[in-house]
Amino acid sequence: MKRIYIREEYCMGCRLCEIHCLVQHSKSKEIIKAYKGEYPKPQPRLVIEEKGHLSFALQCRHCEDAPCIEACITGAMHRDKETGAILCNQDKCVGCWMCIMVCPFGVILRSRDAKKVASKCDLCLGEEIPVCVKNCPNEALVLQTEEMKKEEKEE
Amino acid sequence: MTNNKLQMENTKLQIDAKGLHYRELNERIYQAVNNGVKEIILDNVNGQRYIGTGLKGKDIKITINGIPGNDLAAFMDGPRIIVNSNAQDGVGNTMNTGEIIIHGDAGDIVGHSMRGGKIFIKGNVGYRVGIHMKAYKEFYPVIVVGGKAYDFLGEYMSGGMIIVLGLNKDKTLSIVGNYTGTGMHGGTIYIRGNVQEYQLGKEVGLNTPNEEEKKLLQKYIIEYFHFFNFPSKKILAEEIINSEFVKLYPKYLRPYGRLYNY
Amino acid sequence: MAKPKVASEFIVERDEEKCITCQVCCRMCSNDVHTYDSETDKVNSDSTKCVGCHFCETFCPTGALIIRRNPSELKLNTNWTARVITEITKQAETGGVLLTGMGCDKPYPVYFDHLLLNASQVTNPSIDPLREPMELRTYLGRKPDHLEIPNYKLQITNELRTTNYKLQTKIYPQLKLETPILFSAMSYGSISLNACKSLARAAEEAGTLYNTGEGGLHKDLYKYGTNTIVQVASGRFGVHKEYLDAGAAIEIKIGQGAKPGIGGHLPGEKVSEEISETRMIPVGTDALSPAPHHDIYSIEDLKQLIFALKEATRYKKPVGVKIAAVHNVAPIASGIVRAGADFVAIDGIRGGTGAAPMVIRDNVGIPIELAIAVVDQRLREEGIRNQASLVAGGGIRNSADVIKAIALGADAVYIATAALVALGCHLCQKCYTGKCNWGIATQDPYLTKRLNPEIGTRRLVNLLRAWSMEIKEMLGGMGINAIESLRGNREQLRGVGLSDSDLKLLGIKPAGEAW
Repeated sequence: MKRIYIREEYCMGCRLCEIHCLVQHSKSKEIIKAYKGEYPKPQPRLVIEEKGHLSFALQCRHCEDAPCIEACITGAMHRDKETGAILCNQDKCVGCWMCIMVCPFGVILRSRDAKKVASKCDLCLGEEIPVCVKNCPNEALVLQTEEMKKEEKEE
Repeated sequence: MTNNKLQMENTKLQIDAKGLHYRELNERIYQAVNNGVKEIILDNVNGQRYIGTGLKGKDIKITINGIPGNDLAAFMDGPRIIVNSNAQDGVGNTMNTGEIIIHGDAGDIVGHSMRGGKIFIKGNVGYRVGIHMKAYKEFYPVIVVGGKAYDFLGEYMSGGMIIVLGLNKDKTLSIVGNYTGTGMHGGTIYIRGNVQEYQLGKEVGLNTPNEEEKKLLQKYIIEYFHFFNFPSKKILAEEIINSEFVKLYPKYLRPYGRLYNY
Repeated sequence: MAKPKVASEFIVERDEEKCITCQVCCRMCSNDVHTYDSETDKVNSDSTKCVGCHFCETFCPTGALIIRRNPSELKLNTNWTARVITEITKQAETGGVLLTGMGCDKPYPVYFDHLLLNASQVTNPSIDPLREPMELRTYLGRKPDHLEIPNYKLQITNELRTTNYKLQTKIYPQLKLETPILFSAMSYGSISLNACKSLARAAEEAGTLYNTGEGGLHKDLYKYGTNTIVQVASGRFGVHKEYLDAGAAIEIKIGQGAKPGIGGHLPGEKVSEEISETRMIPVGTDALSPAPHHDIYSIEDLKQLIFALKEATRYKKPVGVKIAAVHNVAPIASGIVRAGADFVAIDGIRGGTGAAPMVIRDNVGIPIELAIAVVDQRLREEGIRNQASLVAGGGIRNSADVIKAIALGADAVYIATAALVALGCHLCQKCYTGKCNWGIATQDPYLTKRLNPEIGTRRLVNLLRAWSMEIKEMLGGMGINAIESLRGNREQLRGVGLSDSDLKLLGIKPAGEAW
C-alpha cells in the first residue's frame, strides 16, 4: 500500500507537483498539449496550502476509515483491492458532492466540466512512483511502499 | 603531591611560580581546577603568559602576586582573577564570562572581542581597549578603567559597556585618546568629565546619560570602589558618583552602509 | 543631463510556443524578473533585474526559457571593455565601492591548465585502482623530525612472527582524512544553515573535514564537531571555550585569497535573528571583521595567539593559520611554521567570497599554483617542511587540479566554490545581495528552504567520491599506490606553454624533457 508523505520544511512552493499531476491526468499526457490543446483544461488532483513561507502539497490521504466511502450514496467511492487506494467510479458518481463535504482534508475537488466529482488523487494508477513525488525537485514529497515500511520496522 | 613548591590545603592551592615556564605553570593550574581546587594563589609570577587561558568553571578564584604576562585569562569562561600588580597586553582577550581585578595598570587590547564578564582596572590602560566587544541577551561585558585610556578606545564596539573614571586625572589633559569609538555600531562608553569632538570617531554620538543610565553607572562605580583601596575612599567615591559623565553611543546601526555599492 | 543607464547583463528569452504560463518562474525568481499578467494571460520578463543564476531555466517544466548574455554590443575595444564602462557608470551613479561575490574571473593564466601529468609505460608499471589497494588517507599536522624506537625485540615462533616495539617519540596531534580534499571556510551568515548542514554531514560521511568560517558554529552543528575545523578570525565571532573544544582543529584566519589584506564584510541584509545570536551583534547591522587581528601586529604576536589557543585546548588539537597567497608568501609561510603552526592553509587569488570589493578581488594576490610551489620549496630548503602541513585552496575545479596541487607540494586541498557549484550555484556573483535563488548564500527563509540538506549532502558526497576515484585512477596510471608518494613529486609534472621563469618558480621541467 503506497502512501505519500509530506515534508513541509523542504517545500519551495514551486507547484511543479501540481503541473505534473495535471499532465498525468490529461488525455494527451504531454505537457504543452495538456495546457494549450485540451478543452476542458485537465485538473490537478492536489491542493497546495500556503501561508507565509510555509507551503506544502496535500493529496487524498487514502484513509483507512474513509468518511468519503461512508458518505457516498451510490457506492462510486470504493477502495481498490490491489493498491488500497480510494477511487471514484465515474460511471456511478451522480455528483451529489457529499464526499467533498465530509472529507476532513478538503482534498476532493469539484470537476470543472460535468458536475461530477473528478479531482481526487488516485496514486497515479499504473505508475511505479506517483508523478508528484517523482518530480518534486526538493524531495518534499516522499513515497512509502510496503517494503519500505517493513524495512523501517526492522530497523 | 607535596614538595617545597606546593602547599595544598582543603581546596586551596599555592604555587611558587619562580622559574616556572608558562606551559608547566598553566598545566598545574589546569590539573588543580580539574581536581576540584577552588582557590589558587600564585606567587612570584614574572611575565608567564596565558595564565587562566581557556579556564572554565564557577566559583574559582586565582590570585596572582607578581606581574602576569600577555593574554591573561584569554578565552576564559567563569573564574575570577585578582592581580596584585600591573598586567601586560591582552588581558581578557576574547573572554566569555568571569571577573578580572587588576590592582595596577594594564597594557593594550584589554578585553579584545570580550563577550561577557567584567574587568576592573585600578590604574591606566593602553591602546585599543575594548576593541570589538560583543553582547547578546544576558552576555554583557563591562570594563571599568580607573585611570585613563589611550587611542582607539572601543573600536568596532558592537555591545557592552566601557567606563573611564580618570581618577588620577590632570585637569588639563584628556582621559581618553584620539579615535575613541571609531567604527562603533553597538554598546556604550561613559567618560567622566568631557571629551573634545576631534577625539571621537566619525560614527560616535555624544550625549549625557539619563536617569536609568546614571543608576547603572553608579552600580559599577560602587563595585569598582569595593575592590580597590584609596585614601579617603568614601569621600572620593561620593565625588565620582556625582561627577558629570558623557555618554558615547553609535549614531548609526550601519555606519558603513552607504559606502558599498550594491 | 542625459544620464547613462547601466545595461542589463542578461536577456531572458522565452519561447512563446513552449510557455504554458504555469508561473513557476514567477514564483521562484527572488529578483522578481518574471510577472504574470492576467489580462493578457502572458508571463512577462524584466531582463534588467536578471542576475543570470539560471534557476528559472532549470525549473521551467517545458524548457521554454533561455538566459542569454545581453547581445547589445558596444564598439569593439580591447582596452575599454563593456565591463570597464559598466563599472564606471555604476560608480558615477552611486559613489560607492563596487561589491561582488565568488572568485576572481579575470583572464589571468590558470597554471593548472598548463601542467600535464605523467603515466607509466613499460617501466614502473601502472597499478589498477579497481583491483589493487590504493591509499588516499592523509594526516595533517606537525610531523616529528625523527622517530625513536628503542630496543625492539623480534620474536619468531613457529606460527607467528611478532614485533614488539614502542614508539619513544611523542607524536603531535594529527587530523585524519580519508581523502586529501577538505571543505574550505564558508561562514554561517554568508551561506545558509542548510548549506552548512550539507557540508557538515558530507564531511562526516566522506571522512573529511569542513571549516566553520568566521561566523561561529550554530548549535545544531556541534554534533559534527569531530569533522569540523573551527576558525578564529579577526572579528572573533562566536569564539568561546565550547566552540574551541567542539572542533577537531583550530584555524587562525589571517587572510583569504579573494580579499587579501582587508577584513570581512557581511552586509546587514544578511544578519537575521539567528545570525545575530551566533555572532553576537545587533540584528541588521553589518558584521565587520577588521583587517588585522588587533592582537597580531607581528610574527611574534601570531606565535602568541597560536600558543594561547593551544593552551586553551591543552595542546590536544592542531592549530593552523590561513593566509592569502601574496608576493612574499614563501617567507611569510616560513615564519608561520616557525611560530608553531601545525598546518598552513594558503588561499590563491581565485578563492571565492560572499562579498568583497571587486577591485580587490580581481587585482590582489597571486595564483595558488605558484604559491604552493614556492612555499613547499622554501620550507624544504630550510629543513622545516615536516613541521607543518600545507593545505592549498583557491580555484580547485576538478580532480586533476587536486593531483597537480599535491604534486606541487600541498598535503591536501581546500574546495569551496566547487562544493557550492555541486549544490546548485551558477556563479552569478551576487552573493552579497542575500537573494540567492538556490538557497545557498541567503538567510531568507523562503529561499533557504530550497536547499534540502539531504540532497545537498548526497551531492557533496558524490562529488568527493567521484574525485577520489579519479585521483586513484590518475595515481594508478603514474604507477603510484599512495598519495604520500605524490606529495611534492615535481617529476610527475611537466609544463606546456610556460615561460622559463614560470617553469623555474614551479620547479618543473617543460613537456618533452625526460628525467
